[in-house]
Amino acid sequence: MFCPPGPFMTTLNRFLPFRGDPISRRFSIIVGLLVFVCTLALAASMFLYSAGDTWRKNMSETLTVEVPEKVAKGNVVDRIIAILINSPNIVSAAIVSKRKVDKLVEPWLGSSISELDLPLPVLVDVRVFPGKSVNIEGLSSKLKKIAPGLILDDHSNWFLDDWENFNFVKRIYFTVIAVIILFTVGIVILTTHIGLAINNDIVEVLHLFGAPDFYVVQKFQIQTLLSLGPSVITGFMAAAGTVGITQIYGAKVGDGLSPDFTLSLTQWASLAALPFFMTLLLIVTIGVTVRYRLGKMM
Amino acid sequence: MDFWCGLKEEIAALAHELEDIVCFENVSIRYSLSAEVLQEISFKLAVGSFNFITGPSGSGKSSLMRSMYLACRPAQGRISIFGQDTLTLTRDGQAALRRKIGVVFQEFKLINHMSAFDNVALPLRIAGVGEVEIREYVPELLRWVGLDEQLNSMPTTLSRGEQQQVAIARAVIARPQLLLADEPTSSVDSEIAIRLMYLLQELNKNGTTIVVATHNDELVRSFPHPELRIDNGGLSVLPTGSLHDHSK
Repeated sequence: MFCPPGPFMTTLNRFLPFRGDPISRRFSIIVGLLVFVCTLALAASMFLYSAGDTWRKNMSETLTVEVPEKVAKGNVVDRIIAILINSPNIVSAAIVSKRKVDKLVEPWLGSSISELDLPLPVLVDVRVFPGKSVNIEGLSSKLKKIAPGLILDDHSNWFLDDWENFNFVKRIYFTVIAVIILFTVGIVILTTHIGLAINNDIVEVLHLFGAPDFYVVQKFQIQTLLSLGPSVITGFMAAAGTVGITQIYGAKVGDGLSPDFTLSLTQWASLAALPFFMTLLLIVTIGVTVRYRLGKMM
Repeated sequence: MDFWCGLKEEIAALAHELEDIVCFENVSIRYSLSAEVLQEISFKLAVGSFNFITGPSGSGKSSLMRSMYLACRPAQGRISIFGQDTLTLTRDGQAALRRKIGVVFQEFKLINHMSAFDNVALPLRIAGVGEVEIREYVPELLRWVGLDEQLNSMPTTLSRGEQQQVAIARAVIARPQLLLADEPTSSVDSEIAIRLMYLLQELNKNGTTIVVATHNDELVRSFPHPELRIDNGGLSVLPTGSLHDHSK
């Protein structure tokens, strides 16, 4: 008994038997993996960008004063703090507690540091108005008159080196993303050519029954999308899950020593745009490839 | 049959505008670097005519058919179909022209993962015809070729004769003004071949111009129509019923 095709089948008109064949299955897995790696690389570059940006901001808005233990007697530290507070562009100056200093050196000296009775310098944490600068040389010489051997550190010595390292790693991530995208385009072109070769008879029939090029292109695009869409989504969801878990557990680790593993809402939105971008890339690449091949037929 | 309603009027209008539906002028066909399959052939086919293209195997009948359904470009000469020079047409123009031509391929070229219904519906879907009309026309046409019980059958489950009938139904479903059948009887028995020829004659009575390429002399003898005979790359036009004399 005749059963008319349902509306779904009617809309898609599955002229190309793409789904389910071994090549399509392998291609789906490869595309899923590429989307997974690409999403992770993008998330990593975003983490790095945020961490670098936060770190740079923190560094440029803070100074550290190290008062040698042997001169930090009496009211020396209080006088230093008073001078700092009254200097232009300085918001605040406060002694870093002994407990916090112990915590900072703990990774190198161990947890029993208080028992060692080491001559650790007194640290003063200085906050500068955002975007404002401090005359380091003038202030340093002024403070050294009270406490000889004092160090006023604006972190500039290693700031530039580390910033360059950040940028270098960022460039590596972006290169990885670019390579993955190029690789994806290459695979799509290759697979489309294979698909066209396998389905040559069907494409020829469509062509000879008067299907315009855009019609054949559209069929390839729809069916590739149906075949690869789930892989793109799965690859992205797996990567997004990994990023989410890293974000949750990263926040619990490091206590200030490790970078901030948090993506902002804007960054999540940018990350979510990746599967759409990859899908668009697939559609455009397939369109250009199929049109190129059809152009060779009369 | 409702299906043919309107086709006669369309073809009458075409005949009014155009005397010849196919016009070849000094056409040569060659494949890559090989020798010419057809050499400077010229002929015209009138609107509404029924013609045979005959000749021994390998003589170039299929090449001639392919050039008529715009599947190959001539090495030289000019081909006009429906009064349009095929070489100057844009790709979209060529596609539009192909939609007016029905083709029965020698090897049928049915799409094996699609049912008989979907294979026959293919030209209509390409032309953007609605599913309501498709569900009306396709069963009607499959009934006309005697396959109303095989709507949902896959081509691989059909006999050669049935596949042939599906191919014919697919070729005529879009009501082409020109139908090209390349060796349509080569893989079916004589009974089906005769039945097929009657179907094509019925189509011709509705105004469709028919071109049948065959090397079956008996068939040509049984259905007297003008004959274009290809031999040694050349073409001679023989009037109706001349095969008998020619074969002597």
